[in-house]
Order: sequence, then structure tokens, then C-alpha cells
Amino acid sequence: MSWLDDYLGRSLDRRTTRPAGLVYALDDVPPPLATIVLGLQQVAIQSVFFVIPAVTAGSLTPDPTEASRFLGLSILAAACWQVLMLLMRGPVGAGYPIPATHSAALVGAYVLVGAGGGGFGSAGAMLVLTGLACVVLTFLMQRLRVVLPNEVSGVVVILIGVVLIVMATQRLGLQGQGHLPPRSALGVLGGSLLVMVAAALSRTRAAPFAVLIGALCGVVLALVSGHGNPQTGALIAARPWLELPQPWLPRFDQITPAPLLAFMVGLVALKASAVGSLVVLQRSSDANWSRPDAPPIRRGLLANGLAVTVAGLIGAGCPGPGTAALGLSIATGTLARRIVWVGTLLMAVVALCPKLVMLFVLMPEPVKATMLFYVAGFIMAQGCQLVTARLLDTRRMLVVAFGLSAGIAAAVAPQAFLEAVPVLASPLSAGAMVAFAVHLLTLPLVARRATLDLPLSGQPSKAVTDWFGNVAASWALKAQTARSTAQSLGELTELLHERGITQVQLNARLAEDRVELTLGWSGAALPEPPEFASIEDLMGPDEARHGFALWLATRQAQGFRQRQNGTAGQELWLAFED
Amino acid sequence: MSLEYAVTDLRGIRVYTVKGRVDSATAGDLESAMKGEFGVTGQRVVMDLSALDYISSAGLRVVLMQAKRARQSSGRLVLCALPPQVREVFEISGFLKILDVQPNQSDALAVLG
Repeated sequence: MSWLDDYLGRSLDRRTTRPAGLVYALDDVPPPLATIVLGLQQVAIQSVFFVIPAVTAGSLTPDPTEASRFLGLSILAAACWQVLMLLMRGPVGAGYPIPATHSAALVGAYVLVGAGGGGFGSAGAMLVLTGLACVVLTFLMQRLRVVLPNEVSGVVVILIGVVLIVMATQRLGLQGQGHLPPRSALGVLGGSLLVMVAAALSRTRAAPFAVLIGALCGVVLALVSGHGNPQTGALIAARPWLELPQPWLPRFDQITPAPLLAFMVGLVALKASAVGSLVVLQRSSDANWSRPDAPPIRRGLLANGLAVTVAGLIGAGCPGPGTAALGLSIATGTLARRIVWVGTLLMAVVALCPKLVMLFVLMPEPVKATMLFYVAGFIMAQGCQLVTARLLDTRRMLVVAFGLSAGIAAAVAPQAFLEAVPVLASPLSAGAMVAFAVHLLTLPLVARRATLDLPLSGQPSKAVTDWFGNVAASWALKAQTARSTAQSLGELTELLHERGITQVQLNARLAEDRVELTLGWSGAALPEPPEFASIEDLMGPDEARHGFALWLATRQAQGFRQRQNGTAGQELWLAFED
Repeated sequence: MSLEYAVTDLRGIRVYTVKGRVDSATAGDLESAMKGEFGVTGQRVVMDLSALDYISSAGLRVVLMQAKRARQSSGRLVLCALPPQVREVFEISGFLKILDVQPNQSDALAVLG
């Protein structure tokens, strides 16, 4: 199908240039020992996030064996995510070696499933719908940012951190009864957090493993102070060494509105983290990277959506990109696909070994709480970065303020929300819905306009690029948007001048996620921009040169159209993503 | 700033330092200035674009003409120190695939040395 090729085709991928400092580029084949060691290192980092499905399972069942089965399936789902992302042929998969992990985005949704008496099958059905929604959204990405701008996505990500903190306090027994946990539990928490921070700041090879090292110290402290499960030995002994985890079939008949809404809200964060990881890897693997290359990102998002769907079909937890492990790959310059293939194999081995999986499930509660606190902090910091990616004007500030207030209110007073608006009883649902509503209601207020009547004489491109430079600064446009829009305007005004046009009316409009330009003039229309232009056209006749100039002017535009306006007037419209 | 340029000779290599804008109004000036280059076989030229603010397709045409002349006379043309906004134009127009572009002037001189 040609539209699918136009949207996802691998032939459209930009050619990349190997960055100078890279140890292993995407296609490199590292020596076998290095591949295995680097693969092991990645899995070690990924295992920090095993705490998320382990804790999630605790909201759905008190049975450690069922929790271990859920964790095994979730590790398999993460391995499947990696495989789909690595694919080098067909419309699915960016071909990028991004390690996967378990997404915290849907933890709140699972808690709601458990609170409503649902089980793994019910959660799986809702995850299938979430995955399918991810797939559909891949094809609507171009205008998605109008309804889900950075500040709304940022609020969602910050509230995921809030949900994890709520869960961490539950692990410590701080919720409900409101009494202090034993001092020894607080000692485990403080001790292991200290180790994590010390290791993270040590600037040694231990730094990437800070959480793992802190957790191991925490386990020792917890066992010494009597916080281990007394049946740990028996429970591990009862599990086989090798077993394929039994899937839970999705129960579509058990879908209920409140958790489903929470799943759909979590989808915003799933999408945001997937796009972010794909762009980060793309930047790190190409020395000449200047802007996101859309086709591999779309194929990556499709892989992400399909992997989430598969996870739902087998009743596993939601997989997503492992930003910590990806960060390590980038920091060490080891981006070879082969390393992640080996990591995938290692994860499959862990998933098939119930004894190993049980170890993570039986981790003492204060240690789980410590890991959740630590991870929550990082997630909230990422959310803050998303929120502040663009200049916060009063309107955006209101979106963030109301969203966070609503989300935190639901976290500290869940009972009130459960009684009044059960569908918004999760901090994530309440905060995201309020941020989303405030954003949509105030969206019409953001449109801004600037106009210029420009005589085309002398150096018209200078006048127009100077004008647009001021407009871009006052609208706080991204540098990339300002550059590509100014370049296009300069090219078009030069072209019109050369074709004998003496005056042009310019109208720039800032919508939420893009800049729209309208150029009006009296005289002949410009030719249609060619689909492809060759450098050689620059040496050809006027029509060929003009074709090249138009092609260059519209190359980075999101949309372009030209129409007759009145009897002798022409109007050209262009849009650039901001 | 409109177009400004300076020409220097460094170890037998002609170095053009181009500042300001190369658009339809100024491209002719640069073309005239470089007209004499590559008149003899094996001439080596560096275009240092570190202070270039803007280049349009009219400017790209001048660069392409010089690259063609260099090839015809067995000479070499190396561009260096492209600012981000200029590099972007070279990239999206496909020029980076056919031109030798170096990160800075000393690298460009080393390539030609």
C-alpha cells in the first residue's frame, strides 16, 4: 500500500553519519565477550524496574506465586518490546536498540482494577485496548500535540511519580491507619537511599548501578532487622527452575469505566516516553542529526503500540522504553543492536526461571518502598523537564497548576474522589483530565497574529527574515521552528521578487503547535513545488531554479497550498511545526 | 548585515571568509569575487562560513558553481565552520552529500595540506 510506504517506508529514512566518539554504532558487531558483558549490564539496570510489576501485582493479588507469574510474563513482554523495536524490515520497528522496561505509567490504573475487584484478565483486556489506541494514535501523531501539548504530558508524568510515592507509603504501612512504621523499616529506607545516592554521585563504574547496589544493601539490612518474608526459602524452593509462565487471557467482559479511563490517561505518558527515547537514540547515533526523522519514529511507535497490545493479550504488565538503560548505552557509546539482542535473550532466560523471578517478588517491603521513592523522584524530574520544555506563559501555567492540584488532591483525599467521582479516583486520572480540560478550554486564547506589508525591492529576504526573527522571539518559538520558517520566507520572497512581484502581504499566525504563514500578492501564481528537486536544477533555466527554490522553501513545511484570491490575487499558505 | 568577504592566502591555499548573507541580492558579488578561482589546475580553496547568517538557493548556486569548477580543474573546494542554520540549508538541499565540509578552518586546511 503506497500510503503506508509514504508514512512508514524505510526508503524514506534519512541517511545517518557515525558520531566520532561512538564505541559501537548501530550496525557494529562487538566481540562476543563484550556483547555478553554489555548485555548483562543492561539487564542489571532493567531489573531495577522489575519492582514496578512486582508492586503492581500486589494490588491485584496477595498470592506471591501469582505475582511471580505476572512478573515473568511482564519480563517476556519487555523482551517482546525490544524485539519489535529492533526489527529492520517491514512497517514495524525503528531498528533501534532501545532496552525495554516496565512502564510506571499504568500503575495507578492497575491499582484501580484491584480496588474494583478486577484481576489480571480484566487488566489485560484494558491493556489490549490501550495498545490498540497507541497503534491508532501513531497515525494521528502529526496533530496530536494540539490536544496533548508538553505541559499536559508533563503533568501526567509528574503524577505518575506521585502515584509511585503513594504506593511506596503503602509499602511502609503509612496509608490507612496513619501510624508510624517501625524504626527499623525507616532505617532500611534511609540506609538504602543513602547508598543509592552515594553510588549515583560516586562518578565510578558503580554509578549506573546505584539503585541495584542500594537495593542489595537494603535487602541485607531488611533481613538483619527482620523485615524479610519468613517463608522466603520455602516459596523459592517450591518454584521450578524452568517454566513457561502461564498467560492470563484478557477478560473483555470485566472492563469497567474508571480503570479504563486511567489506562487511557496513562497512554499519554506511554507515548511521550516512547517518542522521547526514539528521538534520543536517533540523536546519539547520527553525527549530522538536526531534527527528528519521522519514519523510524513512527515505526517505533507502532512497535510500541503492538508490544503493549501483546502484553495485554498474555496478561502481562505494560512494557515501555527503559530510559535508564538507554542512558547508559548512550553514555558509554555502545549502541550496537547486537547488544540488545543478547539482552533480549538474557531477559527471556530470567522470565523462564520462576526461582529468579520469585526473588524480586519477595523483596522486603521497605526495600520496594525505597526503590519506588527513588524511581518516583527521577520520573517527576522528567515530568518537570517536559513541562518546562517551552516557555510557560500564564495559560500554560494554569494548565499545570490546576492539573497538579487536582492530581495531588486525589492522592491525599482518595476517599472523597471515590465517593463523588469514582472515575477520577486516581491522581493520574484526576490531574490529567483537569489539565486536559483547562488546556482545551483555553486553547482558543493562544492564537497570535503578526502582519507585514512588504515592498519587494533591494534585499527582500533580509527584511522578511529580520521581521520574522522579532516575531519568533516575541512568540518564544523553538529555535528550529524560527530557523526553518525564516529560511522558507526568505526563499519565497526572493522568488516572488525575481518573478516580478513588487509587493507581498504577510500574515503569520501562531497556533498551539505550529506557525501558519499566509503570503498574498497580485500577479501570477507560483508553480507547484516539485516532489523532488536536484542540485543540478540550480544550474538550469529559470523554471528549474525556481522549482528548486520552491522545493527548498516547502521542504520542512508541514503543509502547503496555493489558491487564487479574488480576480488577480494569489494566496500561498504554509505551516511549520513548533 | 549584507555580504562581506575577505580573501587570504595560507600556505598556498586560498581562504574565503564569508560574512553576512548570500541571497539573490548579494550572490552575484560573491560569484564575481570567486570568478578567478580554479583558473589553473589543482587550485585549493577553503570557504570559511563561520560568520554566515543566511544563505538562499541563489547562494547555494554560487557554491555549486565553484564546486563544479574545482572538479573540472582537478582542484579542491572545502567548506568549513557552518553555523547551524546554514548547515541545515546545506543538509536539506542535499549539498552535504556532494561537498567536503569540515568542522573548522584548521581541519579544512589540514585536509587540503
